[in-house]
Amino acid sequence: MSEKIVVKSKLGDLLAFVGLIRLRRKKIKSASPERPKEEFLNTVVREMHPDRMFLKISEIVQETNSTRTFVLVPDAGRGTEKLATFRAGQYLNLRIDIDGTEVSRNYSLSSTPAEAAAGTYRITVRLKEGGFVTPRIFENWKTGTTLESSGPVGNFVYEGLRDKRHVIAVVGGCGITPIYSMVRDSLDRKDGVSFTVIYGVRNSDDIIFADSLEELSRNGVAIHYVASEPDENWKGPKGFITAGLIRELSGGVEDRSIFLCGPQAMYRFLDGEIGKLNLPRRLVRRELFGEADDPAGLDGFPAGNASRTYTLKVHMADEVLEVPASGGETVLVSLERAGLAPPSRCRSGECGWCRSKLISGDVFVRKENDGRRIADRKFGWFHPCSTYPVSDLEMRLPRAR
Amino acid sequence: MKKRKTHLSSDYDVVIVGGGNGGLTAGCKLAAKGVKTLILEKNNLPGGYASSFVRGRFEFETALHAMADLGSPENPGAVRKLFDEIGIEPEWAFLPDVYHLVLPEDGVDGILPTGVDAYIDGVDALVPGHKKELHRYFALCNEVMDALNYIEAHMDNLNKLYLLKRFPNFIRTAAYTVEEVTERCFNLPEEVLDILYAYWGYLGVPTTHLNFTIWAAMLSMYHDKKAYVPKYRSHDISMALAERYTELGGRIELNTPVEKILVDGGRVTGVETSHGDMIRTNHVIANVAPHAAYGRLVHPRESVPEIAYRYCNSRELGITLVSVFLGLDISCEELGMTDYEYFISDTMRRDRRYVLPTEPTLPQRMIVSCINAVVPEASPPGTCILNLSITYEADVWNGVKAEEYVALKQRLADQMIEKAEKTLHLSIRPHIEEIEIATPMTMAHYAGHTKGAVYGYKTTVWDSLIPRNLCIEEEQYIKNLEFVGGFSFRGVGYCSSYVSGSVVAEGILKKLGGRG
Repeated sequence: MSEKIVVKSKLGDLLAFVGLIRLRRKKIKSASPERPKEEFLNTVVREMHPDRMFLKISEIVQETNSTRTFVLVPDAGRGTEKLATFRAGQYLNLRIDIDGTEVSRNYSLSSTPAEAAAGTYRITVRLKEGGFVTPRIFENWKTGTTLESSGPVGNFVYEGLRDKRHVIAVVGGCGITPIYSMVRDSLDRKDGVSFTVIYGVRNSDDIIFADSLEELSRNGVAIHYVASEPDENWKGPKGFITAGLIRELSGGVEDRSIFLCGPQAMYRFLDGEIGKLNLPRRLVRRELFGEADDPAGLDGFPAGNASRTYTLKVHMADEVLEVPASGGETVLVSLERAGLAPPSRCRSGECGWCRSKLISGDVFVRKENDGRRIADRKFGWFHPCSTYPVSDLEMRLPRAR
Repeated sequence: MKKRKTHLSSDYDVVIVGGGNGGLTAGCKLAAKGVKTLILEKNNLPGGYASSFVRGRFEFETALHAMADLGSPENPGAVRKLFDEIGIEPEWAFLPDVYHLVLPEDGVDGILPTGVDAYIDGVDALVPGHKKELHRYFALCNEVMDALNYIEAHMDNLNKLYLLKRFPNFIRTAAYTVEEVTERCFNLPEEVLDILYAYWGYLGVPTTHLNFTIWAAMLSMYHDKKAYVPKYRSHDISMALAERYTELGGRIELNTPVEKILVDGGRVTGVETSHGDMIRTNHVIANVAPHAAYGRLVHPRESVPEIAYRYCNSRELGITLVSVFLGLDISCEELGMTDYEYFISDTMRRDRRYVLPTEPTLPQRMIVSCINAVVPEASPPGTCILNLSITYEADVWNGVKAEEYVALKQRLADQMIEKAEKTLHLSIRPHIEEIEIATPMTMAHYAGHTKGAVYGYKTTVWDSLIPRNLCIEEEQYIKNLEFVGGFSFRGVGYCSSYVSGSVVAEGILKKLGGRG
């Protein structure tokens, strides 16, 4: 600029410039000498999103022959003073000791946010005969058992700005738990959302929360049971939950959101049925798939890989460890079996908590749950929870925070 | 139960606390010269706010609206030069406009393109007759920018007399606010100021308090170097930096919060992490706010001099924000988002320009952006990504209780969507496939800053670029503990953070004796 600007005065502008440092020193010297403390907002955040919580089982409720509810309270002795708030539908990622090895499993909170504010969470677990984890839970978890958990996490929640005012919840087995929380939370908050629950069970003995659901149904929540192995005097619909049945029981699917939660076999069947309803994606929400129970049956899974074994060369902090891996299990499971306690949350490929670097080797990623970021794919990062080794692998694994 | 504990066992020449834009850049520059460097990042991905997240079939940008000072290969800005030097090449999309300004009560609705001539034409189309004065104004802004570039290039042997002779207006305006300089020295009517001052949102300090120097530099940068966005969200830049850093021999450890910066005899001796790693080092680069470093990390506490606390407390935290991320099942063309970014405000008239909410209610001002307008493939065909953002002073949310939080953010998001629909004549609601609402709590949770502040410290007159830079040495309260990033000497913004990392790394290289 060729001209000379004068802001206040020719000399004053220069003096003001020279005085900037003095002004700064004065401002700093006259400020409070107190150490900056944690602000209210930061305390709230720390309590809302704890990295980990320590919980204690205060009560166990036998819901059905194969299902138990564990009532959890904060374990102040280990540093958890109060329970984090959560949104109905969210889950806890629990760290569970299996023969000295730490694995993580997710359990939806079956209780409501109001109950959490009053000091308890509830999770409801179904025993899977011959399973890896649930038999140990049923055997080992007693009143007083202490547990380590993540804070409440997950995106399977009712979101009024996205979801319709009428929700059709199609659930199977233990998939009732997040919906049970959502329905009661909605009544607690009187938000006016109406629910039609279509609950697939084996038979009448298989209904979890039966009494409570009966009461909800008297209070206007539409609940329909569909039995796959009905007892003799079963009066309701039988067999699988089909598109036609969803339409019939809910009085039509127009202007409704559909929430799906259940075992993998149910998802596999329902995918086709929901497809027949011709709904846009935004109207269909589904809870996490979890680790595939039948990887060999996944679309595109390399033939014979499930029975092969590989070696994972794992860089972790400053150490390099070699651990065995099965081609039929996710990389995450192999890391857990080796006692590495890797970070994990959703176990479905979506949240990225287990995000790791693949240095070399070939993998198979389950396409339906490939939640990797574009740049992660580009730079060779992957989610071990939805990835299977197809060769020996070399990888870098961040330690769990 | 048995857990195989693994540790970081080496010592390092330099430890970088936080792998944000500043930390990653410093890491690359140091590693490139063979300095043994460790970045400790508390989250499970590098980049800090420069990141992305995935919901369903959408990948959302977390922070960046417009990258300043990148420039084209022919006219490179500081960021491009720096990335070329480091050796990374993220893919960029060019932004033809700085913003589309909509001020319903003022009757303003127009596109403000980048480039001085085009911008002035844009203003002229809205308020005719002030081209000459605006050219004068941009000439001043360019002089300020040139002066800053000169200072940066001659840090070691700055010729102050030459500076005064060559860039007199830089010196003469440095101690004033935007409004003092603009309104005392230029004859621009209120209607033009309403349009011009809409830029304040990029720096987060009202023009009544914002220092002129940083404002002028920003205007000059946006118009000389234009603006860009990364094609694959900020995570692509952060990953490119982190991978390059590793390639150059640097170590980055994710999920590893630093719990202590160890100090002995007034100088840095090491760090301790939440995993129990004890790492010795003589240099720590803090890509965290001084509030966190002095308030929480430096150990033992007695080694923090009282003046460091005064230093933190004297400074005003910058703004924080609420962002609504929407994945819509409609294309941006069908939606009617023809431009990338809309700045909307009920009015920019002086009496209500900076009426900011003191409670977490809907402010009058909002930014609406749709990345698909410039990166069509940012989401699958037939869909688009919409971002709505509003800002708050850092204190406003510092009282919200956990139990009222979810309902509050939903109510606000609802109002934001309504405002965007009404002001821009869009139909958003029927197309929401994914929605995520980020608030000051989200920011605080992710990056850990006090009150969820995302814009560093306010660049008011006494705390702007010049005084910060002139006082760097006397304000190093602990020897070899230096700061980079949005809370450091450069002020907020991607380019400032990258450059801060570069400048600090060069200083350390000199101290280490010109290795490499």
